[in-house]
Amino acid sequence: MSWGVYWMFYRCPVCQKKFKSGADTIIEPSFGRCPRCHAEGQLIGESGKNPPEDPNAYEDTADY
Amino acid sequence: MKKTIITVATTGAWPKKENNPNVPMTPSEIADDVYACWKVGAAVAHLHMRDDAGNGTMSTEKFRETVSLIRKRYPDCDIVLNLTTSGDLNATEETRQAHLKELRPEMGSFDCGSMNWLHSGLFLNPPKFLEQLGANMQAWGVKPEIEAFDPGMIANAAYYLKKGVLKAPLHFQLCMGCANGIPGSMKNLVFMKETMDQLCPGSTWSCFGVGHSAMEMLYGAVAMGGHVRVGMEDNVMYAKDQLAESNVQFVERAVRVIREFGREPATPDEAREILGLKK
Repeated sequence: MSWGVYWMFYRCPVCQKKFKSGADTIIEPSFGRCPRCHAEGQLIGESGKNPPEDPNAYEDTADY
Repeated sequence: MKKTIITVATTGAWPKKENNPNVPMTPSEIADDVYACWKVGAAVAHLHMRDDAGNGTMSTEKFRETVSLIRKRYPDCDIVLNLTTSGDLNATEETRQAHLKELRPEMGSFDCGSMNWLHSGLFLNPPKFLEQLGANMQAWGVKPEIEAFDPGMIANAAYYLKKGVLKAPLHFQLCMGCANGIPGSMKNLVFMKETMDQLCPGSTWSCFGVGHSAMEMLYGAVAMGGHVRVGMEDNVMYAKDQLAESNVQFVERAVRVIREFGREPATPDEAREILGLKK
């Protein structure tokens, strides 16, 4: 049994952009950082506990 | 020519239509999807069931209905069925095995240890349950697919080999990139395989990568001589910002990768030979 990506949802405290980082990319320097202004994001929720009501509005920060 | 087994994990226990409208959920949808995936190259189908609300369930009735639909609707389909024993974190140790006893699939999953799950719950596979499950699978003629989410679970499989709970040769599914498990990277895949070779020599193996590691693990497994698992249980996205259209899309990509590497996807009968299954 697997369970897909474990997302951590963030809002940028500088530009208010909504973005998300997958726990499977936790070693990436971009993890938890705003893809627009690179500020450290404010944690809004997590997919296993308290996901936001609009998860699809959050941009994936991973560089595939 | 070496053959590579493609397992399709069609449904899993988590994604719903709101995550991807193309996830097959009902027995009828799953049966149709299994057939479509078999037609394009899948040799094994790893199946989970959903209740009528779309939540993961270990309902024997749902497994029975799905297997029956595959057999009756598609009598030409000889795909190997691999039924989960871990489709609902709240299922009892009895309901996690009841469908194996009744339906006697060729394969079933065997999660070789307990772990935290999604940073919020417990995925429990206590020793008593695993010892009972291993003995029952031997008695019922169901080959265990050892799901290993970290190297410790491989060591646990070696322990069960010594105890006789599991019987060699083992077949592993290396589960890479799941939250609370080993991250999906080539370095980690090599380590998992080396651990498996050291502790359980002669085993066959497959792997999948959840999310962003899916492609790295797909190419890595093919290059290292392993087998592969694809499908919406592990990934609802086909690529970044691109929802998967179907499980067939994943299988077709795996077929392309395998052929570009110079191998061929195994047929179900070839998979049976590789895995030591009795049809």
